[in-house]
Amino acid sequence: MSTLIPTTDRWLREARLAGDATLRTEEMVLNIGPQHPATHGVLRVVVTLDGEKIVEGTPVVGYMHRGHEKLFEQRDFRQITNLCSRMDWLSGLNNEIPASIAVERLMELEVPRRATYLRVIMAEINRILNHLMFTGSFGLELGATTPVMYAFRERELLQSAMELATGGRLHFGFIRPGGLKEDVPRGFVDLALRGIRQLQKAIPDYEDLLMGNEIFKARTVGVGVLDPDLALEYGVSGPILRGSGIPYDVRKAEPYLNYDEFDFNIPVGTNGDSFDRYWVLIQEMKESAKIVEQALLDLPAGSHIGQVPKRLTIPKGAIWAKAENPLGELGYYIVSDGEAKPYRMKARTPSFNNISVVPHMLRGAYVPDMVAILGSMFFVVGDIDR
Amino acid sequence: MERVGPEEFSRRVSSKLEDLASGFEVQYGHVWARVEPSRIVDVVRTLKTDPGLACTYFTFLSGVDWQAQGFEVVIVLYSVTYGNTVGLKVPVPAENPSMPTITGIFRSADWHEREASEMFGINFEGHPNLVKLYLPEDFIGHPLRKDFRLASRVFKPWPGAKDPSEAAGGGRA
Repeated sequence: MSTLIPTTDRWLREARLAGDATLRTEEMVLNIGPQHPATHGVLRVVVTLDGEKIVEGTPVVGYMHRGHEKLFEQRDFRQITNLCSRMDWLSGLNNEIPASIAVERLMELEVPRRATYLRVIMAEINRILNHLMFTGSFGLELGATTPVMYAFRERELLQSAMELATGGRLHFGFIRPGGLKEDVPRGFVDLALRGIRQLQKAIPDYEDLLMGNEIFKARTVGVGVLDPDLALEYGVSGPILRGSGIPYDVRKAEPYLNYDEFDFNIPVGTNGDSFDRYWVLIQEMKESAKIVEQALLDLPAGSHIGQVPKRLTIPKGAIWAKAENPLGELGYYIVSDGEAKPYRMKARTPSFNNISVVPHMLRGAYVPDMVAILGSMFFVVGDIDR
Repeated sequence: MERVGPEEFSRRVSSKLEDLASGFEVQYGHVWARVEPSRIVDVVRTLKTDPGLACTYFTFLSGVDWQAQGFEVVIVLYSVTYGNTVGLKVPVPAENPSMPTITGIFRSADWHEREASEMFGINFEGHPNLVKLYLPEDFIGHPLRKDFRLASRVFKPWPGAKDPSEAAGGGRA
């Protein structure tokens, strides 16, 4: 628990200790959200409070439900990758990858080496963009307004590199079954490398700025501890699972693209608290930067897309394909009946499972801790609701 | 971590579950099996608790509407210890679709079952709180069923003549 005990709680405790018989207390139900700065979108949490202590906290989801799974059934696979990018809007490109991989496996399409490399580069740049956003916003939620400024400074160069290649800053729509929409323009490699170098120089500053800060530690160390067994039972993934000490990362566990050819580590926390989750987030940026650097310096020449038929007809069958998104394991279960559109396409998004474990973490916490807990669960509401 | 190949893991799964499930196969590196609704709780419990399988990671639960042939509930579990995926397909009848809940084994199935229940109208017997998850309380219908037409498509086919399914002579609703 936090070392900072809120005043009402202390006052209540003192009044009880003094044996004040006239003092009547009762539990209170409080709605937090759906519009609240700490919820990145429209997540509502209904909390039952005893003083400032949370007795029960239940997330209420669905405010952003756009019916992606129904819409998938209306679209051709080339359109679907664009729709996928709208689920988790902070990591659009990463959302497109497993959908494309699933189609390639079902159709046995070959992806050129250059396209695979570029996919890895862009996926990792997108991961860094996502992590930088949360690096900044988590500080902001705890009252530190400076880190977000730094994070956005470092985002800009990488964001420009992505914009140069794809034309988009949020929804890139760059992945196609069989490869990429087009080759990257001249200047992309240099710009991306500059962005990575700038980030590598800046990361130690982030570490000092927040993780060395006493107030930040007081707010996060030992707060929102997630037990590793509980995390597994709930299918929690990404930095949150690794913060609890479980080194599960799809890039290592079931390598896709050509992640097995790069040298990188999986940072793992020890205590599973908010601080460790944040620590994992920062360390992952270093590892992603390493991957991007290796891939950029080793980028092969060649075509950006393989032999793809004009009409994508997917053979009958079903497939489960997954990838490591910045927020965790993203997978698609696709059932095809041999037509251009999927018969059924289920999206298993990381934030959905990650947020479903939150009631266990809120029980017994204080209201100000709730912000630290939700902030360190690194979720995007569009990714919960789809 | 002790990595096991999918073929070897499939043999393990089929030897532990031979009385409870059928149709074992390996597809794209993942083990799949068919399970009758009456056996699903035992199957999931074995997969989770058997030390040789250790499928302790709950990936997802969802459904597929096969119309006249009923529904199929799909459950995917993962073993972090052995690095393998096990998928279960549970056939559920079209009339009064129902199967036992697995929330007793994986508490995380709670939200997944609620979603499958509102989207497909499948009942999960014994679920502690089978209310709607995403949809408003008074919503009528089950949106992911095939007979539930997307309202905007009823008014206007999209994206008009560019829809690839039209070239093949009509698509689905």
